[in-house]
Amino acid sequence: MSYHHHHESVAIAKAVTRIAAAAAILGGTSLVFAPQVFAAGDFYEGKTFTVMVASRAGGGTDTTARLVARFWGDHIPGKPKILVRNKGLQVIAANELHNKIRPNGLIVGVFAGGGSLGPVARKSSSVRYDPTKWGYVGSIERRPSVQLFRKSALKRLMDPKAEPIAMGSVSTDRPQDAIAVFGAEYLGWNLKFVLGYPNSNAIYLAYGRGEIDMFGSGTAKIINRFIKDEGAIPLSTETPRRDLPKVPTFERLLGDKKPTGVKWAAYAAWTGPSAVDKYFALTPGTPKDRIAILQKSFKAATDDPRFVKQATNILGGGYSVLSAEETLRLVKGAVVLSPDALKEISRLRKKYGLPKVSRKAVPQVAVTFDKVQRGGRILRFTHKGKKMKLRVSGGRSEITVAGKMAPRSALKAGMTCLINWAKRGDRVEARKVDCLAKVTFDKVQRGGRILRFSHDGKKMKLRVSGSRSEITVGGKLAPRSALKAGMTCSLNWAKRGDRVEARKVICP
Amino acid sequence: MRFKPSDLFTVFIILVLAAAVAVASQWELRASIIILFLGSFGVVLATAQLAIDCLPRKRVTAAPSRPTMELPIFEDKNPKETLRGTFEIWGWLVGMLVLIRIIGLDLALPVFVLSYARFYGASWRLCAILALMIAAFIFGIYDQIMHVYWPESVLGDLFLDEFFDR
Amino acid sequence: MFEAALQGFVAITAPVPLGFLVLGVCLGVWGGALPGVGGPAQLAVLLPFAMLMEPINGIAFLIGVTTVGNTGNTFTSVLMAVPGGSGSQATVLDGYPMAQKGEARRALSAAFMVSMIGGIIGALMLFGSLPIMRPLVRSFGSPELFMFTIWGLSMIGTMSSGAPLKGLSAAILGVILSTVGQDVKSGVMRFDFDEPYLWEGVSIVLISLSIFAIPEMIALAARKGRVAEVSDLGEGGILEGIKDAFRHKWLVLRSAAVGTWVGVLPGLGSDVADWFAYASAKQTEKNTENFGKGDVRGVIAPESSNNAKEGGALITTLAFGIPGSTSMALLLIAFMSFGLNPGPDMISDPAQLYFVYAIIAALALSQILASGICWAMIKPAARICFFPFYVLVPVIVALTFLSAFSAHFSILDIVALLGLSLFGYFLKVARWPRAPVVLGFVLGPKVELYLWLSVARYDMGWIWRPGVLALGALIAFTLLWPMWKAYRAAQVPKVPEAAE
Repeated sequence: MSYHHHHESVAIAKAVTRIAAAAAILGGTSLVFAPQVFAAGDFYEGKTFTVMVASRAGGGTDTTARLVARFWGDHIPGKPKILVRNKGLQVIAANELHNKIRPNGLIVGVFAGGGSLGPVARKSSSVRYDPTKWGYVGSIERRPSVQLFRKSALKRLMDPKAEPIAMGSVSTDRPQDAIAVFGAEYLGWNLKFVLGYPNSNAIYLAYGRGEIDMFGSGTAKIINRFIKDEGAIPLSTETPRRDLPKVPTFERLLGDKKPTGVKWAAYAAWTGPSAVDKYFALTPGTPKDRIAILQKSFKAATDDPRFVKQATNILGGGYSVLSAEETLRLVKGAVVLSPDALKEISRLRKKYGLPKVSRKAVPQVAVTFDKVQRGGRILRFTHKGKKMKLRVSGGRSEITVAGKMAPRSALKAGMTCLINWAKRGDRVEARKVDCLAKVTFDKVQRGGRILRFSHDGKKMKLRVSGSRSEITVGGKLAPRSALKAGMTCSLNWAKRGDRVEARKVICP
Repeated sequence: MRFKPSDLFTVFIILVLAAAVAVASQWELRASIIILFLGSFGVVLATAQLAIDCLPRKRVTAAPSRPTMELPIFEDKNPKETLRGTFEIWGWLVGMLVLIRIIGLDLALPVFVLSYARFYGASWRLCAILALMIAAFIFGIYDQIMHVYWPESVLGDLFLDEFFDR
Repeated sequence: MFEAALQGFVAITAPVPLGFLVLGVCLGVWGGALPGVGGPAQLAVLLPFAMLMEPINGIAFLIGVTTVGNTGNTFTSVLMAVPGGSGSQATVLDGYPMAQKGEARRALSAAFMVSMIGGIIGALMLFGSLPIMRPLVRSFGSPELFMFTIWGLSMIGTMSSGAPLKGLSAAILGVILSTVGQDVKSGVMRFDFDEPYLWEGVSIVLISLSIFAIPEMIALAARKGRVAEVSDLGEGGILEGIKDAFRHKWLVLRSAAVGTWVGVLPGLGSDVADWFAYASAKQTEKNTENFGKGDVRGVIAPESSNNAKEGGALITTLAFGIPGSTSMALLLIAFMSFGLNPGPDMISDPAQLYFVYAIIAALALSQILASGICWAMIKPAARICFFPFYVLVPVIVALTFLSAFSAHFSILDIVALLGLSLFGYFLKVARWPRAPVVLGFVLGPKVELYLWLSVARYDMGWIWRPGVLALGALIAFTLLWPMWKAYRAAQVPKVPEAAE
């Protein structure tokens, strides 16, 4: 079937060409953005450096990221083009940074501590990243959060019979939420929580409308505006602020009612992640020299007088710029959460009607199946001396064998697999079953960095990463160099960009 | 009972809404209430619609009206050809998805434009102009200005990544 | 105040700022005309450059870029049934049928005329309302916003006369689609099926492209025809369009008022302005049986409102420092980098007030410039209606794929587009109304959010708030009036059932 209209085609071709030319003229300014001439030398010369913001446009994280991005390019040797891209959710952006982004130093993620580290501390099942393994450039800390509330509502704050004070919040990951909960628990604040506002701006507007009576903010401009124009009074701060010397810290406000032990650890854990505020991180495996370039240029950009002027306008005075080392230290502290502290946080959240802590992801453990019954529906194995029986669901359990999705029937007795499980009603059901392939190494090259073996009739070349691959020999963690040709080990792997990389290598 | 082929779609809608309600019932109330409420209501409405469409009409009515917020459907002068054409265009769309996976979005789209236009009778000159327009748009706007990261492709994994920083 | 207004106007019309305004308008129209390019994506790319400029130049440039996208994206809505942006979805309903009838020039001309008028009205309302806007905006809390969203949903049933059950079911389906992804208030991942791609939810871009654009291209490719089913566009279409705008001047003004109001209320979202205006026109105009079949009023109403909303959106951005959309949020960052202080201080500080009036002047001028540029492109653009399918279909499909890809920059966007397009295609074939799906999708998150906030804050006491009661009465009127009209019409003697 063919439609041949020669003259019509010519006329249409002319019309199309004219329209295309008109569009090109109208949009001719795009030539302004033509790439710079590539010159040898600096790595970043002629390249595009992407700032991936883990939030929607317009919020605090986005504002901070764009502010830095505006001046950063001038201080990176080679003056690359800077591109700012938004990724909607913190956890999604963090997952992408850890698992998908190539370690070439061309993309930096910008995160907010509360939204990205809080889920890690609470072992949320949607977390597939480890922020302690990232490369850090630095962070910008705005001032600590101040709890503001309506002066006219003061009487109701301590009167349990009065109408509760409405505390407005986005998602309860922030320090002001912890302060509100602990204030209600230990100081008897008469509060109710109104959650789900889409962002801080909506909370400010809700306060202005009289819909809520209490909220928290760290931005000096907002605090001053609400104190001056909206009849708000600062109740407490997270940590001391020089611009509000008379406002007590929450710890001081608690006085002798301050909880101790696990209960205070729970408070520290809840507020901990937000202490990092807005931080800039690179994917694991980024070359150290490029990390160093970015760290140095980040410091230079944030010292730039133009940046200081705009930052003062936008963030308000008093923000701090932290180094990579300080940032990493804060991050490490923020993601560690003792089970008891987690339990206490869960109890409080339940008591005050806050969203549950996300399902705790049980870490995967390596087991060898003693028996596999009913075509893979039942697994029997021994774990920590206890005999276990696990069900495998066709729809809910995720099964992989040597990195490839597989049906239940592929599970066999004697297989070594990484497995986790969860209670479902009165049964225990496998969530993830990740079976390793048993292989014998034909060659081990470059001190364990490259493994060569045959699997399923195919010759395979696997890379072993110093940071991402986990190697155990004889039940103990071991370095790559412990791997030798001729060893028979169970392992799995994953694609990372265009390479195949070992994830877990278990050798006897 | 008059059951038309289009009523199958109504059945599909009922099943989708019912499935949504069933899945949502496993969540906590805060997350599921709007779905439970509206989904159940939707199942009732769609079932009522199915009943109205299937049951024989007793009353005489004015000429059946089309839903108002709907683009007019033209008088189909040749339904067989139209049906064949529908399968053809879906074939092209699915084929383009496969092509995108093989050679990448940035290359697949100009190739699609060129081959579709040529297949249905455009001159080579016109095909080339159209394909170049699309290629220029992709390269100028999406690549150079928006600096999009193109999705991985089979060809890119095998060859192109060695030469280009993608 | 008038002195500040005059200073602002003079500052914007100086040669250099005016030049930047023209540049911004050109880029804004161009970005709006190309699906997937305009809006926040374009603004985000241009922002770093704008932040380098002198404040007055930067303001002129950014206002030019931001506020004219809805004028530019009328081209694709009318000529190709591809909603160029979230503000032009409703335009497709009557704009594309007009193009099919050979009235593309008339539709575009009317659209650009009312876009200009609507935009200027929005600017004037911004000018006049600054002193009183704060108390007015503050009087609308979560309960009142919930009632607005219910009003929006109630219009669906009214507008689907002939198939109200289908319309409401379709809208409910749209609401359920909008729940995919993480529920912020509970932390639950809804309908994600353990697939990280779905955690961010389904994008409105994908929905509107797959419900409107792809099914129409499939229909065009299947019948192997052209957009316009007539042989000739005829003469006088452009002039006729201009006359339409003045013929329906009260509709233009009403729609502009709706648009401004929707823009003012942060949290309602500017992508509903065109729907509200369309629905309002359907309910209030006489002889609306041709709506959805190529009635020019179905183009005038949304196009007037979607430009007027820019003025409304700037009201809350400037008066409160609270942006109502992503574009406004990016603008706010730019304003702050210029040293401006959006919020009450900006309105009361004489040094800043001058910038406020410069913004208003820039807004008004940009509407006029944009419409002028678009008018000049009507004749060549309207010829697209005569291009054969083998020219239009591949180009539009390619642009649609690119636009869909802009949602998350993932190949799964393309897969999702095709999957949803299959659904959109069957909706069309089975004669289910499609627009309610989109409207339900857009309003769904707001319905849920404001209901939740209302109950969380006020328990059930929110029902007795005066604003809620007033809006409830309006909704009841909206639902009952068409039923009363239908009852009256049903008194007319019936005709035998037409053969199917």
